[in-house]
Amino acid sequence: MKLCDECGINPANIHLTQIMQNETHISHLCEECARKKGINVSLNEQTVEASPQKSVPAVDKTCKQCGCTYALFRSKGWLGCSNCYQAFEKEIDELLLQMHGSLVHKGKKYTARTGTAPQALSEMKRLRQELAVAIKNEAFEQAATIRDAIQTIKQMGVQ
Amino acid sequence: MRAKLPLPLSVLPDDLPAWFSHTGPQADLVISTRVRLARNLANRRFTYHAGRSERKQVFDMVASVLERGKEFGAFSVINCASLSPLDRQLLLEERLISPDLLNVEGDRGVAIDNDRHTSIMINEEDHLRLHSIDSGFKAEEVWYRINLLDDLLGHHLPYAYDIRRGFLTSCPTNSGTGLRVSFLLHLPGLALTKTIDPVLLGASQMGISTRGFFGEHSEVMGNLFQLSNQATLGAREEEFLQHTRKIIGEVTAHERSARERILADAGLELSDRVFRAWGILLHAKMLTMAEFLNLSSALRLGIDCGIFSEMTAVQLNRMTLAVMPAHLQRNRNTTLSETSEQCERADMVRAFIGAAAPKKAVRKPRSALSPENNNGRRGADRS
Repeated sequence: MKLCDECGINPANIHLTQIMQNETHISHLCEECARKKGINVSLNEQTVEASPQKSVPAVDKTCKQCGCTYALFRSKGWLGCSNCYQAFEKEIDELLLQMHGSLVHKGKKYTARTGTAPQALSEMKRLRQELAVAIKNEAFEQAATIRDAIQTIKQMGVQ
Repeated sequence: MRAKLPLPLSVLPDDLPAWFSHTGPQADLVISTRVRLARNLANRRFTYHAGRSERKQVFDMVASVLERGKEFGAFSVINCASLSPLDRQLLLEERLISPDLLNVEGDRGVAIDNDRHTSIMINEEDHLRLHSIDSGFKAEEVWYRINLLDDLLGHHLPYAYDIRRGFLTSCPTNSGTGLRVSFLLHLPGLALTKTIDPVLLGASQMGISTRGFFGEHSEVMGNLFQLSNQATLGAREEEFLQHTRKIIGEVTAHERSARERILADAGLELSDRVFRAWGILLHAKMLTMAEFLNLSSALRLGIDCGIFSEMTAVQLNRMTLAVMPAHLQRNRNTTLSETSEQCERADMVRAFIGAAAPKKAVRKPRSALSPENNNGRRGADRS
């Protein structure tokens, strides 16, 4: 891992691109030095490598569908297939939150013309199970998000 | 049905690509508006993890849908593996493919709409990268076009989609809407008044990334900055568009006031800078692309401010495209070394200047290099 350009001790988690008089300067900083320089860490561009220590699980995970491991994703930056989002759910959600400040898609709704019903039905089943767990654990905020997702699927005509 | 693009690419249409046509709102500052959507096919490995046969399946599937479906109009599907490195570079310079597609590993390519407003990269970082591009500040119009294509394609191809995370992409940075709206801006006023850094930093704190002319990892040259939204998840597409549009509007307002300040306080110095740039372009024997873009930035500013009338912005755009490395090699019909490329670029610039301002006392370039003798290929200004 690259060390901080400033202190040379901590790993560089912040990759800052500055453009000054038509010249691009890239600095690699640790969070501490970035803060010292007055950079608002949470708002500046963070690469996929941002804060890796937090999200690398102790035991590496593998996606059963494509064989991609979480460590491979972190080293290359690309997931193997759409199932990786489930296989590394906790870690990916952490990354999504860092990158986008949100975990909930509010954009276009999509239903494939072929196979929509089975896909949506299995999703509905999964969400209902998650909702039951969330209510049991009194995680009401999470339950509300899941309930919204269920409503969206219902609007598509799936019960 | 409209006619498809003629192939091979060495006879790409002669006219300027739409994004470089200098039309549309604020075209003096906003060279182009581009919207892209990242999409993947369900139940398949993402491109970078897919083997050759999987890439081929995806490529064939997309190509067959585009070629069969009458509603798609006239898309030409081009497999980059079948192109020479020069032709791939030409597509990059026309902003029809990304630098990533210069590397051929299996079946990867691009489907290009006849009018070159819309293109779909196949097997780039994601299976599909839908792009729409136009000249000027036109976010809504460009979005409308690509949104429609996305609806049509999604009807024929099963996308990887999750109700909570939206469209699933190879890199989580694009998940959700998969939408990136980017504006190519010319900001010499901010650069000259040394206010570019705080303005771009401010934009970055509002969730706007800055890149160079050719997007990710490309260098900033000639005061040309590509600004785009960073987040893609957590809001509707229209909200991302509106937010990015608002910030870009603020950046362009800063650029306009910087230009006004320069004209009011340092009009003579600005004029001096513009005509010095003109002088160098007129007499240089060797020009790198970076030097050309920096000098042409001064001319562009001069044209916009009404202090330079030897060329129009459209002529400048034609010249800019013609002196890009692959376009230069195509026009010269030969492979060029670094030094000869720089010499040819300087020659080509003088040829353009000669054609743009025939009444001025400009020495004609060598006859073989004059635009009239380039066998009808692009390079000459025919407007």
